[in-house]
Amino acid sequence: MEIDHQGETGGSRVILRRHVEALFGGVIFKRYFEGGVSMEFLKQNKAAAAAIAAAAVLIIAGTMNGEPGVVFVKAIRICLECIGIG
Amino acid sequence: MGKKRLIFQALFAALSNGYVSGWLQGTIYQGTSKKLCVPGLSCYSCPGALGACPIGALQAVLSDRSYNISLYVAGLLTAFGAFFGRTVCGWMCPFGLVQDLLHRIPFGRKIRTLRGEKHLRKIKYIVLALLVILMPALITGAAGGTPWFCKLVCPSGTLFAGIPLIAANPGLRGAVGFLFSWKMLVLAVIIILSIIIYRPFCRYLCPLGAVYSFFNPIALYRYEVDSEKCTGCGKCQRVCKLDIPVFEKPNSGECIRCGECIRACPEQAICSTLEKHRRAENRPPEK
Repeated sequence: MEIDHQGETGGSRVILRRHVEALFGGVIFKRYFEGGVSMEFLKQNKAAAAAIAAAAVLIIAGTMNGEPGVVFVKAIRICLECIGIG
Repeated sequence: MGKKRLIFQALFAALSNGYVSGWLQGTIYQGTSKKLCVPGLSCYSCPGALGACPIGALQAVLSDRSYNISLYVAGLLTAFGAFFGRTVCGWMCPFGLVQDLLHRIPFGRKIRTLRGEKHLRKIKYIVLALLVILMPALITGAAGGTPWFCKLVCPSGTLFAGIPLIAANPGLRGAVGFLFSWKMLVLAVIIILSIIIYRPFCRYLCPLGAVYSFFNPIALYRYEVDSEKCTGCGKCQRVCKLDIPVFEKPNSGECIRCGECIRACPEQAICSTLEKHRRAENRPPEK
């Protein structure tokens, strides 16, 4: 039976959890931010934090503007120009 | 790092293009996940595509007569850029993977840089401004504009969408004409060049790489050089397939974060911001 680092047992359940974590970057997050995202890290990355905040505003504004619908309509039909016809 | 990266690239390409039924039947996925863009250059007309291509999506919104600007796609590109910069090119782009594999084919003598390399690398910014932003936004008819980059250049669309769809769909096969031949020629040139030069499309033409290059110096994931450890030996530049002087410009807009320089540095002077953060967190407190 497999035992994970927190002492949990559960064989396939542990393996499944590890796969899910790996899929969503949980392992990466855990490796680098085990103690949480520190203020020091955020201070060192002010520009990136500002860009992420700006991105969130843009995505929300664009979504309210109905842009995902335009992307969706284009993406679910075969784009003849993209494949070299039309 | 090289093998790990290759496995990650393959898994990411398989995940983002994992609509098996589309590959088998020559159709495309029509689920709601196509409202979202994937980070890399991955054509939404690819039979396996589960998400939208950010460059295709940007052109689609800009060429729509109801919109002058695409806040949504710009936001997604900013988010991907702010987190990863051109790490996307090195790790999450299916066409990048294709070029990496092609470059592994043995060839007499590989070329590191072309004559006029510095100027050639600027072409991708012209492609971004002209074919992706200005022409789709400004040249519009009653039915909207044209995705000019997809139509005239995109080799990823030809390889992952054009060829499989035309092979599987007799109706489309009958419509093949000059444009398809042109796009096949572009693809063939890029394939041949990829064997000789490392990632020619990413270096010279990719508009998505051009967008992410602006974020490389500020992205959460970037490189730092410890000036106390660095001796300026230049080994990082010698192992870099893109010929970047990492010891001088660790966050060059051309760097795709393959990690070869980190591995090669004899002084361990190069590290990523995440690794630096981890080391700082694990350092025992000073007495």
